[in-house]
Amino acid sequence: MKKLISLIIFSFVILNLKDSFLLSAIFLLLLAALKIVPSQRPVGKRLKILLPAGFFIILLQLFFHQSHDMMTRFMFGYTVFIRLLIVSLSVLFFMSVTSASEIIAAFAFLPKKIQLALTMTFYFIPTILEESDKISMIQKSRGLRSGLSSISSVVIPLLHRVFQRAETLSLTIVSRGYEE
Amino acid sequence: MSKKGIDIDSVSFSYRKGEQQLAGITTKISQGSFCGVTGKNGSGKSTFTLLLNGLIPQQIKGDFKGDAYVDGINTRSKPVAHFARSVGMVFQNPDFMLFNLTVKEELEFGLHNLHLDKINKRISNALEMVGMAKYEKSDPQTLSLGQKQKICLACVLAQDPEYIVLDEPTAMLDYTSSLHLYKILHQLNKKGKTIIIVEHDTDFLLQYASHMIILAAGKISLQGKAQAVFSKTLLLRQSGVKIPRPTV
Repeated sequence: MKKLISLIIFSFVILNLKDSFLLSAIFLLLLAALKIVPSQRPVGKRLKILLPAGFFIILLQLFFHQSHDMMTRFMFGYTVFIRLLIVSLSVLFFMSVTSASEIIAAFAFLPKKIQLALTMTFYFIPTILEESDKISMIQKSRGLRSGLSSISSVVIPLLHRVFQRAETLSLTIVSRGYEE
Repeated sequence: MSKKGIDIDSVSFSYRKGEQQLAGITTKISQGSFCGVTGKNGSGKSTFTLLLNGLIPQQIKGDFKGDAYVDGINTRSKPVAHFARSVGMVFQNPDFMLFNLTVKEELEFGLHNLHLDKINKRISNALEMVGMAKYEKSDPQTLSLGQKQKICLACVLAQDPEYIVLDEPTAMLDYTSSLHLYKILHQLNKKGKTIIIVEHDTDFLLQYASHMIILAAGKISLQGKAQAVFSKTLLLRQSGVKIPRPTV
């Protein structure tokens, strides 16, 4: 619970911080921390997804806010981008130092039925990521090249697996006496 | 219709029109028996297990004909939760069954649902029976596949059902783990539990099963006492079932 609250407060502070140098320093610190803590998902992969978004944000800032000079507009875009990076990496850091069990345990105050739904959701997230990695690896070994056209060869088997898992889980719960 | 045991009376089932999974199945599983169910892939074995606690037709919709009775009660007449007290199910893939934070909570789930008493005693006894007592506080996801399968069995044992249904429980286990699982089942059977197990490895079935059901294309091609069924090698071959080797 403490970790979750810390993450929420940290994200709130970051989103309200305006000093781009301080934000850059926090970003570098986070990167260093993620180097030490073994992360579930590689940091590079996360950055690869965020970089095009950051480029787009900076580009938008350069086109709009014409009343400011070019450097101010660039720095404004950069600040927004670095905030996005910090929040994203802090979630990654949080997930690396917190087990799914701890996250679910933080919601113990909720009614049983909602807790069960949460448990299943948290159980499913890493499962889906794991499954998608496995399927992607299998398809690559069959000669799949990355690109938009390759998405269906990962998504379709992934959906099959996820539905199969969900169906068995639902049958298991019912056969163990669960009633709505 | 005798009261005790599971009776399947002329059951046909298809998930979609034109794809019949079970075609006119009639059989009786007597209380206290060790019943093996085998057949080729797609012969309807897993679908057959889903009949035994009312999951078909109550939870899984499709074209269902005939009747299934557990201790004389039609599986259509009461909710699945009612049959969960007397029929425990272990599915093929333990990864798809476990979702709680600790092994203890996993076992508690069914016990709370069924409002059973002496929860702690039931949990420790069930874990003891499958040799997993020291894993009570472990996260089920961190266990090996064999250990997960034992936890799934413990979940069922904690509920103390009369009938234990297992769908290919050894499909993902090595020989030693499979043998250990069969020894546990054999012990349970000796204590009076009825075991219904779907299995491809007929060597295990020859050794442990008292009664056999052979399915082929959704129909029962052979059924009866295990020794008698396994002696009909020609029919077994026609049903695509491996002829078991007698243990030395």
